[in-house]
Amino acid sequence: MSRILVIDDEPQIRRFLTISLESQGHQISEAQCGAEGLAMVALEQPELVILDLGLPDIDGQQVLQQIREFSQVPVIVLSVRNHEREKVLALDNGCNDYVEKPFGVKELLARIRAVLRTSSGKPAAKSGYDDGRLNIDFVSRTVQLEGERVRFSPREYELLLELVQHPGQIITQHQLLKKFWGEGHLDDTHYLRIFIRQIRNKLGDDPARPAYIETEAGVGYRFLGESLTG
Amino acid sequence: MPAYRTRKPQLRHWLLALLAPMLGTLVCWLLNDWGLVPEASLVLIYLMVVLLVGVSTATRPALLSAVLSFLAYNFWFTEPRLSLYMMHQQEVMTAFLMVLVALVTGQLTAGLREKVDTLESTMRWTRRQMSLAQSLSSCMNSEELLTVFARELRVLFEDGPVDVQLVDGRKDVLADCTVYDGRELIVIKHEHSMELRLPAPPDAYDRVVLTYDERSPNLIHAQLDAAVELLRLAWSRVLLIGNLQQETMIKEREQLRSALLSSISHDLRTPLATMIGSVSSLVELKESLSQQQQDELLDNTLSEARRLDRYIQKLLDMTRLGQGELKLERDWVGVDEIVSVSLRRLEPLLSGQILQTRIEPDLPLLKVHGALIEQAVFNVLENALRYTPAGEAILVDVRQQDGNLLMDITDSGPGIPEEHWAPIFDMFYTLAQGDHNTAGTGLGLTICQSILGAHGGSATVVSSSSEQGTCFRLTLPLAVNAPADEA
Repeated sequence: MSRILVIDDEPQIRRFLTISLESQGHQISEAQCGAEGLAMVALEQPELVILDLGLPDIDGQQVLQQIREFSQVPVIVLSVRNHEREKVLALDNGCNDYVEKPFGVKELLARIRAVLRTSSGKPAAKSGYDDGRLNIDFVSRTVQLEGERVRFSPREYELLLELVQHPGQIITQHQLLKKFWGEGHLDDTHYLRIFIRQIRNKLGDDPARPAYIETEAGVGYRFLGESLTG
Repeated sequence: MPAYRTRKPQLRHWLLALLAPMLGTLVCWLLNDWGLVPEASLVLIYLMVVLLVGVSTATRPALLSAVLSFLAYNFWFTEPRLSLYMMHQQEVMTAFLMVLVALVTGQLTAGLREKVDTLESTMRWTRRQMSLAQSLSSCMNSEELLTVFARELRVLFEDGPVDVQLVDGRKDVLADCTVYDGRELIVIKHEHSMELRLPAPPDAYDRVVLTYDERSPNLIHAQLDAAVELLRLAWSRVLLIGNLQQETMIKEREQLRSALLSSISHDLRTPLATMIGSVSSLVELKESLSQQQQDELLDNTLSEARRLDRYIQKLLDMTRLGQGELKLERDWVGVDEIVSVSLRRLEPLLSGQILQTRIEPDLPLLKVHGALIEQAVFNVLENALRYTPAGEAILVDVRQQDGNLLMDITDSGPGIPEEHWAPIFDMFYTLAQGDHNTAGTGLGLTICQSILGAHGGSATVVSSSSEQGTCFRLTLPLAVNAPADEA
C-alpha cells in the first residue's frame, strides 16, 4: 500500500512496527537515528514517516523541523513524552499526528489510515461530508443534522470545515487561532473554547463522549467522523 | 583617643638636654668672640637651643636644658661674668622666658608626638583589623571562626591587656553557661570579661572569653568592639553561605526528583510500549501474521518484559541502598567466585562479545556482602557490554595492590571523554541524550558506586591500557587478617 519510514532507536519497537505494518501490506524501511532518518526521507521519499522524539543523535523535534524544510511527507510522531507542551511543539513543527507510547497497534493503524487518506486524497476535491446523521455540503456551505438545516455563523462554519477537512487529524489551538484570528491572538484559547462549544451544541455533540469533535486537552481538536464524500 | 602607651623621656633625651646648652654656649662664645652678634642677642641662641630640645625631646628634658641654658648664659655672658649673680631684673625675666619657652615647646611636642603615636597605633590597628577581617572571611563554620578570631586577637593584644581564651561547649567557664542553640552571635559582657558565643556542634569550640582590666584605656574597648563587629559580620556571611548551600541542595534534590520521575516514566514506558504494541498486534492482526512473525512478536514481548524486570529490580536496589536499609552482611568470599557468578549472569545478554578474565592467583578472600559486590560487578559488566560491539572483547583483570583488591573491567567501546569520568556515576547520567537503547538506565553505575562505597571501596574510571575502550576500576580494601583459603 504505502512506503513507510520508521525512525526509532529502540530495535524492539522497530521490530514490532515492521511486523504489524507489513502485515497490513505496507512497505517498511527503518532508521535508528535522526541523521540516518533524514537521509532516508530525502533518498527514499517515503509516503509516511513514523518518528520517535527521543533519538540518540538529534532530538526528534529537530529532525521534524529539518524534514519540513524540504519535504511535506506526512509525519506521525511517537513518544513517551506525554507532556502537552511536547505535543504542541511537535504539531507546530509540522507533524500530522502524535501517538503517545505505549499505544495499541489498532490506534496507530487508525492514525496512519487517517493521515494517509488526507495526504493522498485532495481535500479540495471533496464536495461534502455525510454520515447519515450529519450532512455538510461544502459547495452550498450548508449543514444539516438529521435532515434539518442548522445555522452556523460564518466563523463557526469555517472552523468546523477546517476540522472536517482533516478527519482524524489533530489541529492545534495555535493553528486554528492563527488561521482565524491572526498572530496576535495565539494565546486567546478561550475564543476557541467558546466557538467549539457552540459548534458542539449545534451538532448535538456531547463533549464528554464526543461523536464529532474530540478535545485533546491543552493541544487541539480532532474531527472523528470519516465519511467525506467525493 | 589617648594612646594607651604614653611616651617616657629616654636617656638620649636627657643627654641631648645636657649637651645642647653646652654646644649653644660654644656657638655663643665663638660668635661673641668674633664680634658677629651683639652680646644682648646671644640669649636668642640659647632660646633656640631650648626650642630645639623641646621639639625633639619632651617637656622635662626641655626644662632641664632651659635651666642649663640660662645658667650658662648668666655665667658667661652677663655682668658680672663668670658668676651666677644676677644684676638686673631683666635677667630674671630672661630666665623666666626660657623656662616658659621650654614648657610651651615641650607641651607642643608632647601633644604632637601623642598625635603621631595615636595615628601610628590607629594605622597598626587598621592593618590588623584588615588582617582579622581577611582571616575571618576564609572561615566556613563557627568553630573555625572562633579559632581564627582568638588567634588574631592574641596577636593584636600581644602585650597582654586582654587575655583571650577559646572554650568549647563542655566547659562551664562562666556561671550562666547553657547550651546555646540560637543562630546569632551572642555577646555577654561581664565586669572584667566579655563572652562571645556562636552556635556550634557539641565538642567544638563555641565561645571565646576575653578577659581584661575594666580600667583599660578606652581604645582597647573600642578595638574590642570593632573586632566583635567583624566577627558578627563574618558569622552572618557564614550563615548566608549556609543558606545558599541549603537552597542549592533543595534545588538539586528537586532536579533529582524530576529526573527520577521522567527517567522512571521513560524507562518503564519504553519496554511497555514494545510489549503493548507487540501483544496488541498479536491480538488485532493475528489473521494476517505468519507463525514466524507471531513468534517474533512474542519473543519481543518476553525480552522487553525481562528488561522491565531488571530495571525495576535496579530501582528497588537503589531505593534500598539510598535509604540505608540494606545492611551489609559481610562474609568471606573468593573473588573468583564473585567474578564467575557475575559472568554467568551476563552470558545470556551476550551478542557476540568475548569475555576474557585474568585473575591473579592466590588472592586473599574478601569479607564483603557477596550478593551486593556481585551486583556491582555485574552492573559494570552490563555497562561494558552495552558499549562493546560484537566480536570485540571485554577484559576483567583482578589483582592485588597496596592492600587493595583492584578489578579492572575494560570494554572495547568508543571510550569516554575524560570530563565524563566522574559524573558517569551520578544517578541517571547517561552519555547518550536520547531515549536509550545503547544508553542504560543511568542507575547501574550509581548502584555500583554505592555498594563499593558501603564497603569502603570505590568505583572509578581510569585510563585504559589499550588505545580504545573504557576501563572501570573497582577498588576494595583487603582485610588484614583474612583467613587462609579454606578451599
